[in-house]
Amino acid sequence: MKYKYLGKDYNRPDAINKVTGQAVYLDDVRLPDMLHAAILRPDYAHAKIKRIDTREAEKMPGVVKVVTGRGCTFRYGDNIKDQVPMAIDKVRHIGEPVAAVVADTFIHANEALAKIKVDYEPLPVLIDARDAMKPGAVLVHEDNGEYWHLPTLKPKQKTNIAHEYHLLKGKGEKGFEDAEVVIEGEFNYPLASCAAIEPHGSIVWFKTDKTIEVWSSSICPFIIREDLAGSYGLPVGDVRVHTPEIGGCFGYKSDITVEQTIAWIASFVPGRPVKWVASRQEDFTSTLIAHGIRTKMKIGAKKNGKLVAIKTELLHTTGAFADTGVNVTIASTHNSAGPYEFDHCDLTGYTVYTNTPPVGAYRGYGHQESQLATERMMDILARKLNMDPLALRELNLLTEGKVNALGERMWKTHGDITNCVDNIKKTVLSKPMPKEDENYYYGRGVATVMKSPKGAPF
Amino acid sequence: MKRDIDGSVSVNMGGAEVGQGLRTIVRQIAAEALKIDPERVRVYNEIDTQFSPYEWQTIGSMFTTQGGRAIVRAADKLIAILKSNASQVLKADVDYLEYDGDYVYLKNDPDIRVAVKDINRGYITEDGITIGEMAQAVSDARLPRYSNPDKNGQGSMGVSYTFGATAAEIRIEKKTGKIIVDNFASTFDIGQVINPKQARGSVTGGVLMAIGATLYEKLEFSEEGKILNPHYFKYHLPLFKEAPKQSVDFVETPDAVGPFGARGVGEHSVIGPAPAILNAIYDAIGVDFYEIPVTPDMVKKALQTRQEK
Repeated sequence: MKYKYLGKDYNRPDAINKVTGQAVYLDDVRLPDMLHAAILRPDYAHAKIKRIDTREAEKMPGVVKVVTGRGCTFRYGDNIKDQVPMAIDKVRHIGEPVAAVVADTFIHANEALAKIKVDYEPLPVLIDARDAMKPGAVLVHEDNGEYWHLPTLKPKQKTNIAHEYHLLKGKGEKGFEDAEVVIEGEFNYPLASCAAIEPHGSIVWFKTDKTIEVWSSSICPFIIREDLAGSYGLPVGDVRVHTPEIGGCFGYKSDITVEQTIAWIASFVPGRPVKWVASRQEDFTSTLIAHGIRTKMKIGAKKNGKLVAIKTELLHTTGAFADTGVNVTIASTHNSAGPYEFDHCDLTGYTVYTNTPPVGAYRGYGHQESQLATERMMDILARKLNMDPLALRELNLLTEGKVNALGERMWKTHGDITNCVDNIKKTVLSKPMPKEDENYYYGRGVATVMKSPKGAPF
Repeated sequence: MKRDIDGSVSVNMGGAEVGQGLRTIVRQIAAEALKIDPERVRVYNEIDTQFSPYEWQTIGSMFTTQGGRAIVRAADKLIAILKSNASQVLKADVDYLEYDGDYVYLKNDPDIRVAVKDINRGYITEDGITIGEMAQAVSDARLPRYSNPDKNGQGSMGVSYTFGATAAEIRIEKKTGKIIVDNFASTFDIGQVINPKQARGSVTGGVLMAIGATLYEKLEFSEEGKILNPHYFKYHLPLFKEAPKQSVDFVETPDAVGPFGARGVGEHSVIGPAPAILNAIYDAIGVDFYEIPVTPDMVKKALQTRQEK
C-alpha cells in the first residue's frame, strides 16, 4: 500500500536543540531555594549496619540535614516490594544508599559526607547466581517470600530465589526421547551497564501544600507518581512528575530507581526542592545494571535436522533487589527457544538475589542473553549433523502456521523471516570470502533472531 | 490531539523521547492519519503527569506499535468530530461526508464543502451562534489479548513479533588475537517502515552497542563485591573507529496490530551480533566460545592451545 508520509525520511524536530546543547536536561533544571544532596555508599557489598554517627557531618558548613534509613517503614516495587529507599539495618550491594547529606551546595554536601562514620559487620558476599543457589548460601533477603509481590511470582522462602518461572510445551523433557541427536552447552552474558550519555538524576520537592513535585531523567513518570503516592500515603493526583529531555536510557531508566531515594531524602526538608545527579561512577554502581544471565541449554533433533526438544535452565544474577529483574528472567526464559519451532519445551528461569547492584531492563530485555545460547547451539548442532548452519535454521524457522514456545500460532502478519534469511544470503553469504593470509584469519557467522514487544499489563 | 485554529495539529503524548525518534514517528503517523503535511504537526512529549496522557512505560520496542495505534485512534476520533460539525453546516448525514485534510465535503459533490479551519472549534454561523464541538481527542491502545502466563508458563505474552536475520564478517589478527568486525548485515521484517533513516539509525546503533557487549563490556567485581571498572577509562565502549561497515535492509510484511502495518524495531538489532560474531570466530579459527566479551587475550590463549594440540 502506498502512503503519502510514511516510508520517507523526515528529520528529527529535536535534533538541532540537542546538538547545539540547548535542550533542557534534568541537570539544567534549577528551582528557587533548591538544596543539593550527596549520598554515602557502603564499604561492604553485604554487611549489617551496627551504628551510624552523623554528629560531625551535621556541624559542617552549609549542611541542612543528614539523613539515614532509620525510621523507614515502607518497601517499594511494582513486581516485588523488596526495595528500600535507603539501607535500614543492612546493606546488600556496594552502591546502596547508607546515608545522605543535604546542603546549600553540592560541594558542601560532599564535604560533609566524608564525616559520617558507619560501623559495619561484614557478611559473606554473593556475586554469581550459581553461588547464591547453593544450599546454605547466606541469604540476601531473610524475608524473601514475605514481601508483597504480583500473584504470578513464586519466591522461595529461606532461599535466594526471588522467582522461578517454568514453561512446558508438549511433552517437555520427555520430548528428548524422540530425538536422534542431543547437544548441550552453557553460555554466559555477563553483568554490564546501560551506560547512557546522561546519568540518572532527580529533583524532589515536598511542597507546603502537601503535594510532591518531581523532575526526573526517567521514562516511567506515571509509575514514579503512583509509587511515591503509595509510599507517602497521598492521592496519586497529588504527586506531579516531569521529565525533561532524556539523554539516553537503553533500559535502566524504565523502572523506578533513584527517585524513591531522593524522595526519602527530600522528605526530611519539606518546603525545599532537593536535587541529586549521579556521577558516572554512581551511575555504574548505584542505579540498575544489566544482563547477568547464564543459560544452560540442551537441544534434541532428528538426523535430518528437524528440531524436536529444548531444555533451558537459566540462572539470572539479579542483584540485591529483584523487582526490576524478574520480568527480564521470564522474557529471557521463554524466548530462549529463539525463532524456531520445537514441539517439546522445558524452560526454567531462576531470578536469584545476589550482592551486586540490582539488575533491570537493558535494550533487548533478555532476548540477546538466551538467544546467544540458542544461536551458538544451532551452529554446534549443524556441525554435528554435518549440515550448513543456515540450512539447519531454515528448516526450523517460525514461519506461518508454526507454534512458538508460548503456544502462539504464527500468522503471515507476524512477518517473513524466510525473506530476511534470503536477503542475508544475497548481501553477504553469496559473496566471496578472503582466505587466511600472513596477518589475519577470516570468518563468517550468522544468527537469526526474534523479539516481541513487551505489553502493558497495567 | 488538538486541531489548532489554523488547521495545524498539536499532539501531546505520554511516551518518552530518549533519542529513539518518537517525535518524528508520531508526526508522520499523525500526518498520514489526518491527511495533512507533517510540518503542520507539532509533537510535545516533555512529560508532565498533570497534563500528559497516561503511558505505562516507554519500553519493549512498543511505542511505534502501541503508541502509534493510539495516534491513529485519536485522529479517527478527531475526524469524526470534524464530520459531526460539518454535518450541521452542510445539512447532511455524517456518513455522507468525506474528509481530505483541509475540507469536509459531500461524497457526491466535492464542491459543497466546509474548510476544516472553519469547523475545528465548532462553527460560527452568520448570526454569531456557535454550533458543534472542539476538534480535540484523547486515545490509548494496548497489545490486544496480551496476557499473563498460564499454569504451563504459556500464553499470549508476545502478540506481535519482529523476526530478522544477521551475519557478521570478521578478521582475527594473528599477532594480537584482536577481533575486527569488518561487516555486519541485518535484515528485519518491521512491517511498514515509517522513517527509513531513523529505522536504519536504530539498527546500526544497536549493532554497535551489541559489538560492545561481545568484545569489550563487562562489569568486573572483586570477591568483596566492589566494582573495579565503574568509568569509561576502564569500561570500554566501542568507538567510531571500531564500527564495522553495516548493511541494513527491511522486509515490509504488514503487521496486524501496529499503525499502517508497522512493527517495533528498537531492540532487535542487539540480539544477533554476539552469536553471529562468536559463530564467525569458530569459522575463522575453529574455537568455540561460550561467553562474552571475547577479548584478545582469550583468543590468543585459544590459538596457543590449538597449536599445542
